[in-house]
Amino acid sequence: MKNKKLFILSSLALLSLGALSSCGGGGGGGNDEYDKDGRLILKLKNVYFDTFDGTDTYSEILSEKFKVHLEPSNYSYDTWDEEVNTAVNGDSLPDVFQYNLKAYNFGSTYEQWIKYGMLKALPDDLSKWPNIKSLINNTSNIDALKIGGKLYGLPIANDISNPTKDFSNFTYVYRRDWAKAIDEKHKDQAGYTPIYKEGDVYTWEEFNRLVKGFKTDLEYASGTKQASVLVDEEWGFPSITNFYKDVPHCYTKDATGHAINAFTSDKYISGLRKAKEFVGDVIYSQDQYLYKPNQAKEVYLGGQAGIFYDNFSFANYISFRKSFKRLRKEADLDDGTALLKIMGEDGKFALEGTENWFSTTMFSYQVSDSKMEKVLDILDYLLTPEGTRLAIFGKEDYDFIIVSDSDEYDYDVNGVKIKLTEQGWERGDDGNYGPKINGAKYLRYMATLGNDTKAYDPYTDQATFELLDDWIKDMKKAKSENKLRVVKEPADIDWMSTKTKNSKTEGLLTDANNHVKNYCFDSQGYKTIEEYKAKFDEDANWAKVLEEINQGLGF
Amino acid sequence: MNKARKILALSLLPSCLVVMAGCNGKIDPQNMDKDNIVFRKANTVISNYEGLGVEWGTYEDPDKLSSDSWERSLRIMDRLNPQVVRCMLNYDWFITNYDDKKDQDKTNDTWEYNFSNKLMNNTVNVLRYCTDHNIDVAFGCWNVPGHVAIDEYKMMEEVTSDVRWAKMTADILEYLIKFQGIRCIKYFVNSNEPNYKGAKGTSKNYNNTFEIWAQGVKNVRKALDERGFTDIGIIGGDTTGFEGTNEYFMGISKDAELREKVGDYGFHVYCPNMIIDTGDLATRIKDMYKKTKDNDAGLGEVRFPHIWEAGLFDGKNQETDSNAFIANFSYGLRMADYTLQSAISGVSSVVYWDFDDGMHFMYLPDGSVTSKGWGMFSSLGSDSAAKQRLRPWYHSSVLLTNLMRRGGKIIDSGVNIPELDKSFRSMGVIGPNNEFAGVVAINRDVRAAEKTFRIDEDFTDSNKIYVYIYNENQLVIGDDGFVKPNSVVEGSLKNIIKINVPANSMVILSSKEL
Repeated sequence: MKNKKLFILSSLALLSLGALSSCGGGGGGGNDEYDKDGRLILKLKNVYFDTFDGTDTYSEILSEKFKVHLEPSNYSYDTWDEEVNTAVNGDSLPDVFQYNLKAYNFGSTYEQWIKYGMLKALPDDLSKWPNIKSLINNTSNIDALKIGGKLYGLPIANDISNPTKDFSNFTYVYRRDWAKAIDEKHKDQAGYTPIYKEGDVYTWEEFNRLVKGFKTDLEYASGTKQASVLVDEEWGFPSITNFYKDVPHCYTKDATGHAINAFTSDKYISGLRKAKEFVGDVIYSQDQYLYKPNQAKEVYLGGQAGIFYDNFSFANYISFRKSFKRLRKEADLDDGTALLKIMGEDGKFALEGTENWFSTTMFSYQVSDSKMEKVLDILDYLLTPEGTRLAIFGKEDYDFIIVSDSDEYDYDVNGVKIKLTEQGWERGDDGNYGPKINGAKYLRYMATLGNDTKAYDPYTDQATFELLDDWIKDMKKAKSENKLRVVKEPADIDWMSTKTKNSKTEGLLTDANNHVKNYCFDSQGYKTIEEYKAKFDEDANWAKVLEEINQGLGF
Repeated sequence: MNKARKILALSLLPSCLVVMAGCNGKIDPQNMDKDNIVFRKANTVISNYEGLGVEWGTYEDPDKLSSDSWERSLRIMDRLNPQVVRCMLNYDWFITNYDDKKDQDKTNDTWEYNFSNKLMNNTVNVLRYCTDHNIDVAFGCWNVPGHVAIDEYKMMEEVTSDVRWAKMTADILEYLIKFQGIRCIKYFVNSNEPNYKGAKGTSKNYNNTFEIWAQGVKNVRKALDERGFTDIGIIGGDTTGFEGTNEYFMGISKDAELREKVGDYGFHVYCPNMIIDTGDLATRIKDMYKKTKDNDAGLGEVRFPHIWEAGLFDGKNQETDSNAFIANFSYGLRMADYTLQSAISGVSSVVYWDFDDGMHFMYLPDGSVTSKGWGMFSSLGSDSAAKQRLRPWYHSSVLLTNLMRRGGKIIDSGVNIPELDKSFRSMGVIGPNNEFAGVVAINRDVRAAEKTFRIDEDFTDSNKIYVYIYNENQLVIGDDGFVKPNSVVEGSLKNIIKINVPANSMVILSSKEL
């Protein structure tokens, strides 16, 4: 996984924050500001508010309904963590902000911020906001986020209609067209076993045949001498280890339940040997060692790779296919971006595990009770059927009408038949609905990523959605049949907070990834597994962290 | 273009009809006759209209403009026949040999100008056309000079209040007026959309405030007066959006000294479709007008409100800065509705954004360059044939610019009231010196609307009525590529005209050919 720099609050800053902490988790308030029309001003900052400034007509509808004045602003994704940390240190947080909270920064940020009173806790009694309450109740590992029984933020749900999905979309796409073309080339060759598999589901043996077939006929399939069989996004290398390892990152358990270094575990070492084999056999790109973010994607989109590993969220897959269509006009879009389903040696698919939420919506300690309630009122409304319709379809009787069962309709949303109007949903000269800003949709991102509405969102590229949705359904089915292995760190370790774990894990992970790359590419002088393992012994923090974790586990 | 004609149901009726108003002048929608409309002198909203126009700024890359393309652009401009143009450029294009004297004193900085370049040539070509065609021009500079990420002249802290800004402005105007003989510049734009601040490093305006902008106005006013350019007004705002505009209008209108320094109340509106479709644009402008008038009795008397950038917000593609709906008929209908609503709210002129895609470019992250698609056509030979074609909203704009002329009158119907009817609006137009008259009727409903109209105001009658219908099926384009009347009938707008206004259409009745 991609490393993020940890932002460590200085002791000086902590002292100064401590002086401000009296309101934390309590009432706050007294500083509420109102605009000239008497509306409560809400300052909201979010990484998804890129083109949202709160002045669109749908924001006006919400402003009128809830008597608020919206002042949204946006985090750049690249500087998101730093911007939040700077605002915490500078005591300049907006009222409500989004933070990329995860297990790896839990102890160094969230816990610290609560300790020093920078965050306001959600109310204990959420019965006034049934949709928010339901969202929280369905959040995975929610108890891990509670400090002193209180929750200091709203986890942003991946998909409120599908809360049990616990695997990520980190997977492969491949050039199905190349596989077919290679088979066509060899169809009359005696004894030739085709490399393409109808349905894109490959056993381990079939997958290995596919990559070897690609390697043999790479120039034929790609039309270039510079192509590679397999490329991983830089954070994901070597993805092939997923079929061997049992945790995605640093810590796993041995047979006795003790925490051990995952990177030197037997399972991981097996995967590492396979990765080194793929490097040695020139299956992996020989430039993979130097890849920067997005470089593997550029190589694949440039027609110079046959298989590509990345995070194919809906947004990413849609964007990826759009780019492929633009850049690879000679190729069939579906055949060029096909999702590749690989079963490992154990006969199971393997996907990295994930929580069912991504990042959190947090409240500054300075937010008054009434302001927090106002924000929760808005978010709860936006999760209702009516609020969701506002966010997705727009204003009723302008952008859409609700019709009876016998009428023609465009969407059936849980039994409610929606007919879009021509004035509200106009198409541009490319035949697609033209863009327009709907503030309700942006605000809804403060509670959910919106995957629950993709199936009926008029802006969704339905062809791409269906491909990915089918893949998700296939994986869910495989899981129910015990054919999917979800590679996930044990929750009791993942969310455990210890002094050294909080401060050193990101650094250990960065170093470990470098050791892995160096071993695979015979770089930096270590070629054997023993030399690789020895590198971990050089850093005393591994032993220290593991000791703390094992103490935490009761050993 | 569809040249199909349909017979317009139009008949002349002898009797007069009366629009019924509620008691005591209060609006009582229940008792108003919204179908039999009389444009009465008493409902005159503007008695000295200033005309319609278009943004026609300096072309960012004149090399992309062939001589054939330029000639074609001029023919298109001829037919549009605007009376107002907004022309913007960058001072950076001309400043050379800059010397800050290595000190902090900005008043002793020196620089020269290189006006012998293609950008100034293009600017002069635009302004000379405007001079020759009696077009009033709002001329200005997008923002203070300097690269946004470098700020080499260190002007971005003080923005337009920097003393050098006023000097540069006066120098450049002097060159245009005294050396090039340009006589069309009526207003100066003291930077584009000053209320849109943005962030340091990506916006030159990040540090701007109303107070800084107001100081800039005072500096520029003084510099222009010293050069003898007392007849060039400074636009009061050029702000964007209702909220930011309201802030500037309140600031100007409450400051007795400042309001004497500005030449108008100017703003930009990129309007969401819903606000236009429901008639709410007029309500919002009227509200802002009233608030400003409460502070400044000179509004509408000596300082008039102008919209210097007019466009539609929905359909905006942020990445390419283009509008996805620009080639749709609906864009023209909405812009016509926008024009009507602004006129009946007291706005004296509207400048459409913009004339030609070929003027401005968007530089995309992947290194490619694309023209900004907000124009009435594209003059770029490199653009697709579809983009080079005249778009429907050009034709609707041609009708309006040729009807709503400088010195004319705008008469409200008295029934343009959203509570009464959100879908139908109309206005009467009287030409300058009462030379002609017209009716603009816009039906936004999905059903046709049957109405009668009569203009109760003096004008020189041709005893002919030119009928124009703007919708996807009935717009008539002549062999020359420009809009033609659907029909010409004997009659007078002084008499009652019964008309069936088709669904989602604009109908214009005019006593002269437009």
